[in-house]
Amino acid sequence: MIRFLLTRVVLLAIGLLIASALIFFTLRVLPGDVAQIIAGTQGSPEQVAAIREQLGLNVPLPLQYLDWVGGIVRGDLGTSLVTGTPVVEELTEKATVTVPLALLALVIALLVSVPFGVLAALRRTTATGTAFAVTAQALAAVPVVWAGMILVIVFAVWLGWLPPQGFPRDGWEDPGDAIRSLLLPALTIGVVEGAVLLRFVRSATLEAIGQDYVRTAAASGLTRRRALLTHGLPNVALSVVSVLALQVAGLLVGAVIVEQLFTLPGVGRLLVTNVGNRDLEMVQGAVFVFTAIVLVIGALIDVLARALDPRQREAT
Amino acid sequence: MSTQNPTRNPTRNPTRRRPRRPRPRWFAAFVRHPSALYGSVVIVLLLAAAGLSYVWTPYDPQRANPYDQWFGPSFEHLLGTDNIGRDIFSVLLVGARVTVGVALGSALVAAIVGIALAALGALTARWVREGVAVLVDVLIAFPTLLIAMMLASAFGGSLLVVVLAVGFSFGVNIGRVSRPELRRVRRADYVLAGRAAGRGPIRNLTTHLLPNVAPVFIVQLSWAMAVAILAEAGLSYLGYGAPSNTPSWGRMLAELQSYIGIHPWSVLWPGLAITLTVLAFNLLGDAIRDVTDPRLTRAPLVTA
Repeated sequence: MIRFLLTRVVLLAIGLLIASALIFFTLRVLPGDVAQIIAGTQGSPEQVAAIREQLGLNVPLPLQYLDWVGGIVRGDLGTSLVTGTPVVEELTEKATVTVPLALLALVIALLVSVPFGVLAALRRTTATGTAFAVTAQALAAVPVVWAGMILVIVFAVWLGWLPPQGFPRDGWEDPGDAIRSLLLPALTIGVVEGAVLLRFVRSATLEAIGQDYVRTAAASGLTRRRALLTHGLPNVALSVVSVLALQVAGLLVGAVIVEQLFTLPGVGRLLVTNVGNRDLEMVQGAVFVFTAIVLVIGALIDVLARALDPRQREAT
Repeated sequence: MSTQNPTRNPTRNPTRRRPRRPRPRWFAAFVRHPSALYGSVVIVLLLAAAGLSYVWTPYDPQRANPYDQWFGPSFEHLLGTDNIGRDIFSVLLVGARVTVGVALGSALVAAIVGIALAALGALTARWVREGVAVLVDVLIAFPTLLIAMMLASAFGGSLLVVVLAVGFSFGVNIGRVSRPELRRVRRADYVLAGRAAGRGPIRNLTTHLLPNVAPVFIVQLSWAMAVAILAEAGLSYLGYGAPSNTPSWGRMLAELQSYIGIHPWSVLWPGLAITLTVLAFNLLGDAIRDVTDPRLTRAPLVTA
């Protein structure tokens, strides 16, 4: 197990390195000149050249990359080319919106998917089971933008319970206000992602029902439900956990769209704005942090899956 | 295979119609599956709508008509008109083209990437395999939307960007999802037996490995089309998808968003169109999965 952990950490480090290289060089290949944007349309060629020099854009690319990676290791993602604030500072400030949003959405998604998914599989021959399955199918097909719009129409425009968009200017000064403004966005992501997850839970449970060991356990005297719960569910947990890694990406993408829809000052909105601004340092910082989060959680889930699954421990 | 080698059956006259082969069992199961029925019907309707839009739409979907803003649904304008007086039904019909194109394109790209990754993961030397696995794990960490945003800032927002981003990330997804299955099958006794009997790696891939991951592939491709349609909506909303002169369901959502407080019903139609279509692709994938996966057809033996 220790050897496995060590290799996993090394793999994670390699993964982060590959990701950083992919992001850095993909963005550098893009057309468009930051110096020109900063200088504005009135900027003379000399001014643009001076800005290029000052930003270190004339240094060869591999050196720029090494500089950036070295910075990451020291916890420094560079400074915004447009505003001049350190990227890390800007990201941590925006993370106070995005992280609670994503966590809230994840909790909602799990609360929706796990109990109802298992239930939908157990009761699949009854009307209740079918109703759960059909509702989940329909919700999983809803575009996040549209789900958000419908929730806004119902809860903000018609009922007036929650604010239609925005985040308190003073941030978390008044936690109640902040949570109220995160509720609709988190519900939007949580319901859609939860419906997607529910389908996985349901089909994993169905698959477990069909397994020989469940049949054998049932044949040797356990009730079928007990057989499934004691022998089948660990396998369900396993496949759900491995799907969770992919769900994290779904949550982050949902956050990008939802922050735009609800005008929340989070990392997603920062990213959308800065892709438009061509603020390379900012974009590569934000994209790298997003990717790193998914990679780290993926590694943790790998370790967890191995701990849960004795078959994987014996292999390799 | 309908085209059998005629020399095999020299007694039969090749011009005469051969007796009809009995339909395979999965076909009967598929036809009786309600999800398959819904999925097929909606997809046929979608194709019909896209095709019809080339010949006929009730109104010109591109022309703004300031005197016709925000009409409610009526016989004249089936689904009403939008903020610049366009007939919403006509725009929906034309928008179906984008949906069909994005879905097919993404599935094609995903299939190519997926099969390549599966072959690499199953046939190559251990170090290549492990290297590909690491690369796939890294690539899968890039959310589709981020790939699309990076591409979009390079090439500008376009539907090709959506197709490439979704196709690529779903291909990688297929590579990842089919990996445990491939790993399991690669160790299976019948594969080892085949190897011992002198069967080459390509033969192994086509007879054992690919058929075993085929359900995963088909389900994933069907889902890829669903996700492609959703991604078009999301990316067009952010301004990286369909260009402004191309009517698409995602663009309709984006354009109508500012008016949801005053005209909430208008936004219903494009959203509903997207949801029903995505649902169709999801259900079709599920139905194919149910029908082709022998482990699931065994499930009714044990009812909880």
